[in-house]
Amino acid sequence: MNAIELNSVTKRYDGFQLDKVSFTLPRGAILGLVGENGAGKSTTIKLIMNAIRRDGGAIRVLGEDNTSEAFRAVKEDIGIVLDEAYFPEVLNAVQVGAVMKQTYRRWDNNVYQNHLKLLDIPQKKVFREFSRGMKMKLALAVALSHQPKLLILDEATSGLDPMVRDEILTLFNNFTRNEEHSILLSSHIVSDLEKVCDYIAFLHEGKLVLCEEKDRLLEEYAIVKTSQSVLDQLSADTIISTKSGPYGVEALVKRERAPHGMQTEFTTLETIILFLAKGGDRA
Amino acid sequence: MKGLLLKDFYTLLKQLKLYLVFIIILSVIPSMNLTSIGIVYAAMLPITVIAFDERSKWDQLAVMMPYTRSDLVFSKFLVGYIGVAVTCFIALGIQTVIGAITGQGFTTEQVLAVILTSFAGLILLAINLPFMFWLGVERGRIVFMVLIAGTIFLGMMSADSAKQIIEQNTITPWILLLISAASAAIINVASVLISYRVYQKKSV
Repeated sequence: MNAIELNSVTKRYDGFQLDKVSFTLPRGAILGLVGENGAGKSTTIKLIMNAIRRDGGAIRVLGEDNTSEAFRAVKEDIGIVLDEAYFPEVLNAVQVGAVMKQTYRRWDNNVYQNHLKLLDIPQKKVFREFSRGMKMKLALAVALSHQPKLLILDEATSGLDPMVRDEILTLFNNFTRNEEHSILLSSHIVSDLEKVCDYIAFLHEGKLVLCEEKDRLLEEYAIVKTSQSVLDQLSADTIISTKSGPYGVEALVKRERAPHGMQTEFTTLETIILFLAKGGDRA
Repeated sequence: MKGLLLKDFYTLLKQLKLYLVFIIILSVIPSMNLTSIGIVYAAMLPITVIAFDERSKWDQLAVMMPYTRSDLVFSKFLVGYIGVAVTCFIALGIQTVIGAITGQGFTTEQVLAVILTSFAGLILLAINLPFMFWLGVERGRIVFMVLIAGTIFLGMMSADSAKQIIEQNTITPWILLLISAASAAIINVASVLISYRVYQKKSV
């Protein structure tokens, strides 16, 4: 069974449309939802959690239609961390724990206390005085303390220093050691996604450009640095996107379609995303 | 629901400590107007909570937790009901104690006045909350101020005639109590239903 299934999900706003987005997060995997600010990542997460009404398509989370009555019970199995949506600022970590104990049936205060210690979160300091890093760490401690099967994290690592980001990414890896556990992680920091994700879904201007296994993506695409005249000889379905510079042309190509003997370079996820998003003279 | 009420209690904790002192002082001073202020303040507590929630965007998070939108709405009404009820009991309790110490009996009118003011507070809460859910606290507060001004104006206009009606025994205090209770109940049921509807459609 898949942790999340989106099928042709559409949401229309004035000036923006999330357009027939379909992807699947298999159980036990981490899927990175990548895209620039305003690409539709947060909208997708709100739709998955049925926080906003969709205009079309279907969504199943942990096997349940997310508009069904049964989805309320499914929410017990979902740990959620949102960008810039927090607990009321006058609460401290102990009070947040007490509130969550009354919110989630399987709340485990020992696990919560361990996470507070592990992540060095002060117990009595009010939330208002927390740094962004501490806020995200507290939200993560909460998300992990009610025995969730699925974590949904919206920009959980953005704006954090590399040390904190690394700590959080380690937690994600530990979480998915259990085969039943899955993570949907939205971010525009592609390097973070590259470190932990099994699958990458790339949203661009409300459309899903790709959703593939990360390793396959890195194998499938390559960079070619050459002259325009050499590129012109390649077939259109070989070249994904090109970028002209003062020293020649760089192109993102399908590795298996590149002519034998042509020198290709391994690429990074970030480069692939950049080429797909804005690098194209030809896309 | 317990989680939401606990969250609201923690959110209001600082204000509640001050409020407790405030309401005790108001209750000791033998003036119905001061007790009324305490009751109106209690009816406004949900607005304070909503303001804190808006600032932290708590609702965005809460709708993704195992709560329904109806839970989020009704918990705010409950905060108001609990606030008004506690204030009413404290005011009555303190006036009873003062009555026992001074040897002056606690008149039916005094009890009635506190209870009627509580019903007025509940009606005010019921009129106010749908606007808060619809417009948010910033714009909803403006509506609230207009409501307060209107209520005071109507109160001043009708106080004498109400007194006359009671004095002439055309309506007994108990009937007045019954009418007030029924009005508060009906308006609150309608308000909760309207608020549910408003909040269901709201994009949090």
